[in-house]
Amino acid sequence: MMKVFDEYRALSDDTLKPDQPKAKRFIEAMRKFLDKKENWTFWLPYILTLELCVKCGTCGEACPVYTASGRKEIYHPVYRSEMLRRIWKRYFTLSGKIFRGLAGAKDVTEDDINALAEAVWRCTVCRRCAMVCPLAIDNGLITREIRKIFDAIGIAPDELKENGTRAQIQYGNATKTPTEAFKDTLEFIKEDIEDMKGVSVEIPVDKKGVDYLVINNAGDYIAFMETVMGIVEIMNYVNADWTLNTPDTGVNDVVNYGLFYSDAELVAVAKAQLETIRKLKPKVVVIGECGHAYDSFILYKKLYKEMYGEEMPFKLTHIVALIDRWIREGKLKVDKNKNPEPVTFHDSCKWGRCAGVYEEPRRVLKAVCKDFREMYPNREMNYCCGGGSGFAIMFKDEFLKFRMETYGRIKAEQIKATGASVVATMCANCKGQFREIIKYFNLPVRYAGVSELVANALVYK
Amino acid sequence: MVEFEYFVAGVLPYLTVTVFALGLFYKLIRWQTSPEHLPWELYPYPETFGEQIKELLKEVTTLHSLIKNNRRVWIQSLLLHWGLYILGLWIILNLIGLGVAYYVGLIGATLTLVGSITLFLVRISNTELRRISAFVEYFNLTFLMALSGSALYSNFFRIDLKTYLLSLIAFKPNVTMFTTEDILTLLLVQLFLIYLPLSRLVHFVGKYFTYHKVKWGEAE
Repeated sequence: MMKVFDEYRALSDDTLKPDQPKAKRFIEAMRKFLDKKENWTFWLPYILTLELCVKCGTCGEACPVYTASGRKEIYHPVYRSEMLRRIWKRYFTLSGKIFRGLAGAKDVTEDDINALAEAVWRCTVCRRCAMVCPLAIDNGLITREIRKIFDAIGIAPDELKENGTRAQIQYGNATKTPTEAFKDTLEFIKEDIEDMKGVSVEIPVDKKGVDYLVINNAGDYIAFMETVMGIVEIMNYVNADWTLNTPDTGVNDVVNYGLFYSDAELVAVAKAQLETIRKLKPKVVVIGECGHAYDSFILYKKLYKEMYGEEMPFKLTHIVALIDRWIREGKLKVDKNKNPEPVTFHDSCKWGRCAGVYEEPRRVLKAVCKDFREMYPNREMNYCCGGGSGFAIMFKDEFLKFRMETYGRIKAEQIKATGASVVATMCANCKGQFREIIKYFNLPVRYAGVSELVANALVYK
Repeated sequence: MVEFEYFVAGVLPYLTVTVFALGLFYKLIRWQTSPEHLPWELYPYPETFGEQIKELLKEVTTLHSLIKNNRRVWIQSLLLHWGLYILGLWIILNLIGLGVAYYVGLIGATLTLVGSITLFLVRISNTELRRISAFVEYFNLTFLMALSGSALYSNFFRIDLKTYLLSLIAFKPNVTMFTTEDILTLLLVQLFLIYLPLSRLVHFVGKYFTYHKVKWGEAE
């Protein structure tokens, strides 16, 4: 693939079409997203970030890509935002139209647009930069807004669109797993738990009106089965009134890749998921171990009101919060000696900075692991692993190398410093990235879902 | 020259006030009337009104986020910002008529001058900062340097602001109280006030929105 920004490519030539003109269309789409009504979802943070940055450079100090790359100019958060800001100034501000370069404006070229299309896929929107910004502006949000503009002119990674949001809406899940195959997988999970643990479990599906509708990342059923097995065992252990759902009911995949690149897609997936939930009428929707899904569902509270004119008729929680509660209530009896190896915890950006879930996983891990160790820095200052924004499923060209040599390198060092042999995390994207980090840096560790470690520590009479 | 001085001290102030007020009003209304966006908070954040005020004061008075995350520009930025705060205080003390106002003004302008010069120097000497800086960053700092330098040079803080403002309110501008050097300072002050709402320096009010409406969500 031809070079348009750096030595990597996240977008295929078929998607980007680098030889075809698109600057005009980009500017027209950009105009739409500068409109308050058209872009109500994020207009204020977008405009504030465009207008107020004083370029103090604090964001760069916090950015894992910039620092790990040896401080390459093109990976500085301000550099990326300025690529858009120059266009905004030139075509949408009076000062830019009059004073041009002096006001920071620039006539856009086709090469600029191609470079920008790729540049926005060098940032996972982990928002560590926004966390530290003295003005509280958000270069991560600018990245996402640029992705929105590109999506509006038909440019989005096929992993996230054609094989992501579009597939999810069409098939009920982004893995395109039909109901029969899904049920076979559940049968396999049931048998596996019974064989391995000697306990009998039930995996109800498509039950209406239950206490808990658990929705997992569909990818977990293929790539991180232990997490799902852990959840199944836990739900059975407490004898919960619960269910999973199949594609027969609509969407049985909790992901929403629209969160990464498009409000239109975000809303389309949300609508399909919410319709499914409305049919099943659970009292509580339980998000499995998927960070961006929980983050999306937080947004759904407002979207639901916009769509249906009423408050969400179900409560929202996540599996680790439930586990935390059940351990504290004594419903889940655990023995930490069953997880004797040193365990550390990786704060996913979406669970942490974006949703404030810091304490529940720590309480749970301290209850089920004999030797829990913090990773530093952690909580709101934790580094993104590099799997966010869907990067975990993006492998084109040398893109994996980019993931490893930037985010991955920092994370590998963090893990090594803990001396842990297990990295626990509650996010599927993070797990996907850890799988690669462990291989790439040859780390003597394994990754595990929190639910998996909890299930391993369960005490049966 | 007399006509120019009359224009700067007797005519331009009306334009300045109008542009400043309308510009700031436009920005505030534009941001305030934005649609309620999707939640985009960052956790943890101060949740009660009291906690938010405490955090706000800490940030405004110490530029705490720079101490924590970007020390190379902290002390310079702190000098500049405290210089501007003290210049604001000069206006109040001068209007009250306290003699100490003169010295307060001198301190404010000196801190502003030192802060803007040192920020300019760090921006131009640090490779990383230089790379992300454009003309406008240097322009803003130069503007502040010229403004504070000119005020010190013209001994501007001796003027009786109250008498002057009252003369403007009465539409009988007292332009004779200014020396030629004062006129340059007065011109720079007014150009700065006109420029302020149109530039990123408007972050002094924008920061309310970025923190309270976005990063912190709504207070309880």
